[in-house]
Amino acid sequence: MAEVHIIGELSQSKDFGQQHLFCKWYLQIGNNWRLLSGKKEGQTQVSSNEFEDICKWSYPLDIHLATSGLQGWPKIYIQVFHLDWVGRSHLYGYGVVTIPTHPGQHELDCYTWRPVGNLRERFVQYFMGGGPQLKDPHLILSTTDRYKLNTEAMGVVTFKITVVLRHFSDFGVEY
Amino acid sequence: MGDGTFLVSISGQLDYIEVLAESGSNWHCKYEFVSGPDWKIIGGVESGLSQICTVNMNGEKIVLNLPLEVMMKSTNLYGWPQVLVSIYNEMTLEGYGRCHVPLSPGVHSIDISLCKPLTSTLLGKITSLFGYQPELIQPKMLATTAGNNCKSFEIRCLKFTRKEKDFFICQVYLIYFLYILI
Amino acid sequence: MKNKMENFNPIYQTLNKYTAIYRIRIKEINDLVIATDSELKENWEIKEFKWQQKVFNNFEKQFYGDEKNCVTDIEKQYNLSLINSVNATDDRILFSYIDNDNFNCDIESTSILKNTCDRKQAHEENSLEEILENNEEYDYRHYLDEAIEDVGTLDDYSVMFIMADMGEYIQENWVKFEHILCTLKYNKEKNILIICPDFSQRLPYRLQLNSDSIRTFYYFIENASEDIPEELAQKENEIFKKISEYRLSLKNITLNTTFELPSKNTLEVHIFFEIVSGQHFEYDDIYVKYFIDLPEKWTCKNSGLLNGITQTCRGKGHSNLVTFGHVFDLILNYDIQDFFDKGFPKYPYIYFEVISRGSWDRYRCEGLTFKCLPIAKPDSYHFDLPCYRLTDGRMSDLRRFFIGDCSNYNDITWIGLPKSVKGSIFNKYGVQTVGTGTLSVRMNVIHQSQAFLTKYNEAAQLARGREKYIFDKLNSSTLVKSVEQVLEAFKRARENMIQARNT
Repeated sequence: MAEVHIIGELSQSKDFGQQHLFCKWYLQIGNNWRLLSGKKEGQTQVSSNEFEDICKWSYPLDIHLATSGLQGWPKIYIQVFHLDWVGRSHLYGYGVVTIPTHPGQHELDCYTWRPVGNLRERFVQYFMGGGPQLKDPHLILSTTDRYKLNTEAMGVVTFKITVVLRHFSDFGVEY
Repeated sequence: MGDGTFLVSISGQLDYIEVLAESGSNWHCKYEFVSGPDWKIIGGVESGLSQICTVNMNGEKIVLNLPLEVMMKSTNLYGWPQVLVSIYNEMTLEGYGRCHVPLSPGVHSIDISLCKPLTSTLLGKITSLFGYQPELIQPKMLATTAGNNCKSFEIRCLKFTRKEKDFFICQVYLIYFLYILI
Repeated sequence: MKNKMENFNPIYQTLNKYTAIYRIRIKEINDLVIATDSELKENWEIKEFKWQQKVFNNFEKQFYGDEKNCVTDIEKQYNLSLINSVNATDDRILFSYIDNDNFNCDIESTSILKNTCDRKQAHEENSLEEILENNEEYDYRHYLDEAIEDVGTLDDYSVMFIMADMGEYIQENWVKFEHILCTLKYNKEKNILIICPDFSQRLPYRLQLNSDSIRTFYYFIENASEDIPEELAQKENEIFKKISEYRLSLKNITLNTTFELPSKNTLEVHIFFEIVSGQHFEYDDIYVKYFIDLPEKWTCKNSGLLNGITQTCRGKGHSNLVTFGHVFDLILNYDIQDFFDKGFPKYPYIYFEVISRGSWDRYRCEGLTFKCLPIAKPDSYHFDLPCYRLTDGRMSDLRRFFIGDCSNYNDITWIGLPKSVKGSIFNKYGVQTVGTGTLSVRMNVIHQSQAFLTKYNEAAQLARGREKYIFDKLNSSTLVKSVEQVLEAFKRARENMIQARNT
């Protein structure tokens, strides 16, 4: 079996315009992939910074996957939330990033977006928070129905990961 | 090796901390190597406590020069070692930071940003005005991916805090793997 | 110089069983250049040391030989062994310090670094919940005191130093001039033996003394112990093999299927696309339409993904950053046989059209761009593609503003290499365009083919890592040139000939 190791961290977020953010991440793999060790999803701590528009999480990622095909190469999709002083969490962005296929160290910028509602919804959102969310987060990954969405651009989440591939060359794969 | 294990040898140092330190303050630092279940330390030191560094001028660097040296053996890449540092000013915690040991052999220089926990209770918020600083009982949890689902755990990131290390991984024998990394 | 060095006697091993035996050979050679061959081969002082074997130097012989000096038990033991032993004549220079001697070497610095390996075993399985339960009242002071007191524990090593003493007798007293030749440390718990410096290979180590005169000594450190017998070594290897096989089988259980291989003769190119973001476009509410053009000989399994639309995004910031995060995976197949018949394949292209949706549903074209897919070399690519849009003077700008001018072209492939090009010159003169923003795209390309399997590609395995370009690899792959292919090609040619003859 060919194996993939993803070792690294979810390091920080930038340009969200808010502090007290946390990030939920999910690993999406195809049917012919298995998770050998590590977690498939997780949530970072809530972080804030006093001087810059950056939230540093430094959340460790260590995932070991086994596969029997190249289809369904792993992707990580994230949801960024803001925790306000009362304890509610508001959605601040969705994003997705493909794990690079080239082994080595990569610094990936995941640009996020969030759905935007009509004028009335935005008015309420300004005062109360909240705002439209996707019913099913898997929609972040799908491509067929995306054109119906209206979204706005939000900040950037940075991943620093190292990818290690093993046994792929035994199956005629060149990377 | 014939038995499917590989060795990782790490040597380096914690150079300095850059925090807005006030003159006359005393800082020290603790570090720890955290690794997964398949990893075993065969040599070197797993954790350490630094000397006490005094700051003479406001805002100058806190120079530690704390050596890090460890040799580990494993059969699996999962649980690759991480370094966990805790910085203390006198007896109060100033921050925690963590970082994966780089996976490619060679000399690396890494900056780690630090953060410290905020209190979650109202009483804590009041007493933090008087210098109360909560600490983690097990800083190792920062290096694991488990148990991070607690919403009430909030961490505030420190300003301009940075440390540099040189990691010189002198032998990374990965016999099992043929292609590793660039 | 090197030749001289090779004249030293080769290393030889002898017979003592199992326990580690170390042999040191030392000789003083002042100038290697003018040393003769015979000087290099003879008169070596040779001594063999067993683990924790005490060999006395001249100073110790004097000191411990005198009964009055021996106070502790160990010293009395030394005294007895000295009186009873016969002095070997070749104990001139070499001697050893063992564990009991408490030799404090300056090089061995006492560190104040804590070693918690032992304590870690005890606390191994405590999860966060358990610790929280057990520590109802967290005593900060207690933990702090523990941390402060625990500084300075060292690992438990038993050591042995092999030393050389280059001193001399001054008025009947031996004056020490000791140097460490080799340090041996053994940690019983971890079963680790550290020997520093390592056993010498072909060349000896050099020890240079800078006292009144410069003296140079060369010495070898050799391993004189017997290896473990064949059967034991074989058993060990078998156990290792069993363990790794067991682990592999555990992994295989989770995945029941074997790895998917593409059919013979195809090269599969997997491209993982990501349309990431765009910047500096004129209007807001932007989406991207993409279209992939596959030339002949390229096929695609899920051809529904060859064109698509992203979501609409509102820009932010003064660079009007729009983010899409649109991912899709494509598998393109190429027939390798054609690679040899027709030469290089034509490259597929991807074309992007960036469109903004204004108020009252006015769709305006914000930019057009294209990229040739980087199928030649598998890697992770990131491209920032600059866009332009077609304009035709004032009237078209007015139309764009009032009505919107989306898709104002006949054939999108015109923006790349136009298909209608005949001859070797193409002419795009006369068309006016205006540069707009940038589109940022990521592609991960990976190749898979049966032609890359080791059985077909022996030579390339040696040059692994250097030959990344698929066309080189396909060239060296014998799969394509195998006999079957030749026979098939022959059959086809024969059929063609028969047909041509019949018509």
